[in-house]
Amino acid sequence: MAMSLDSASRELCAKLGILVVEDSPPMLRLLSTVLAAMGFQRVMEAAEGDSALKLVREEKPDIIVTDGAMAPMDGYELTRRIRAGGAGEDLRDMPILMLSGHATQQHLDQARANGVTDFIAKPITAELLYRCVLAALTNPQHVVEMRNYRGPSPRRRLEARHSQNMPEL
Amino acid sequence: MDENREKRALAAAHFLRLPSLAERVLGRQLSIRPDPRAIGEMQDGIEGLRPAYEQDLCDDLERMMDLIVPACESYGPPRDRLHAIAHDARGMAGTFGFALLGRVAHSLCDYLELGKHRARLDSALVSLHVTAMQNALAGRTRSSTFEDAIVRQLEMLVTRALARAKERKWR
Repeated sequence: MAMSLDSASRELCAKLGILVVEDSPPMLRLLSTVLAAMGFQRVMEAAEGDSALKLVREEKPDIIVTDGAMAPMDGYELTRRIRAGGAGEDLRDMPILMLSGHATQQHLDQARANGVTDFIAKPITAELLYRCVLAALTNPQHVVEMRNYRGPSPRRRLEARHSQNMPEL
Repeated sequence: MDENREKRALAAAHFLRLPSLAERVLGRQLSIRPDPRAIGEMQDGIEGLRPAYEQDLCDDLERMMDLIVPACESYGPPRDRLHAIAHDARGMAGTFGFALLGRVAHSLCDYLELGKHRARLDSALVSLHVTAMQNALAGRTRSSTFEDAIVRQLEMLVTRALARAKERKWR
């Protein structure tokens, strides 16, 4: 039975865990606040990829929102490791949204090759984040499975999302 | 992955269509429609953080002024600190309504990233950026056309500096 998202989105988010990976403390606070306002009851935080990977293994979030450039492990490497099974076989195809201030073609190609689900150019707006997260949760997942990789096709088209290019809902 | 290896890997790949996460969790399909109320609550979350952000930004811009000279003299912690502040402003200022400030911060980031490869940077150019960011925060600039012209000039100066640096590297 189809149900209106107006009433179901909160029910959905309340059942899901989201991990936010961001090395800038004010940006981390902003994202966690906004995602909690969207309805996520379980918002986990990590400051870089290594600690994020540990949290993914232990807490098994349903979706990740990660920054691109971080040290020592960046968001690209975090994504690559998750797609390779480094956080567990059952989590390889989880949706991973990348947020970055660097949205050049080179960054998009790297994100796509490593298995990023969607790429959001900073700065974000409430509506942009809402639409991107919801699209990742509600769209059927087209997954490619091969040796050391399970995730969105690394050959597909990936465009930066911004306020003029938001996902259709 | 090089192209041939990627082609071979894809040839041996399995393609699957999985139900959405929503369908798996709720056990039913959702008819997708944006919820203005949820977006409004997310925006309220941003607004709640605005006063603290504005104060932090104001403090950061003052710190940036103090960092200009040491950051431009040589590569080291002051330059990294300056870049970190500009990088944060680039990513966040627009979210809080300071789109112009974010654009100037973006231009400054591009210039400071050039600093990874050279000892000295142009302190006048960095200072112009920081002043433009302060003016954008204080709303002292006269009109949108005027603001836009200033930012375009700064972006052009950075583009030229980047082009010169690239040219020198290739010689």
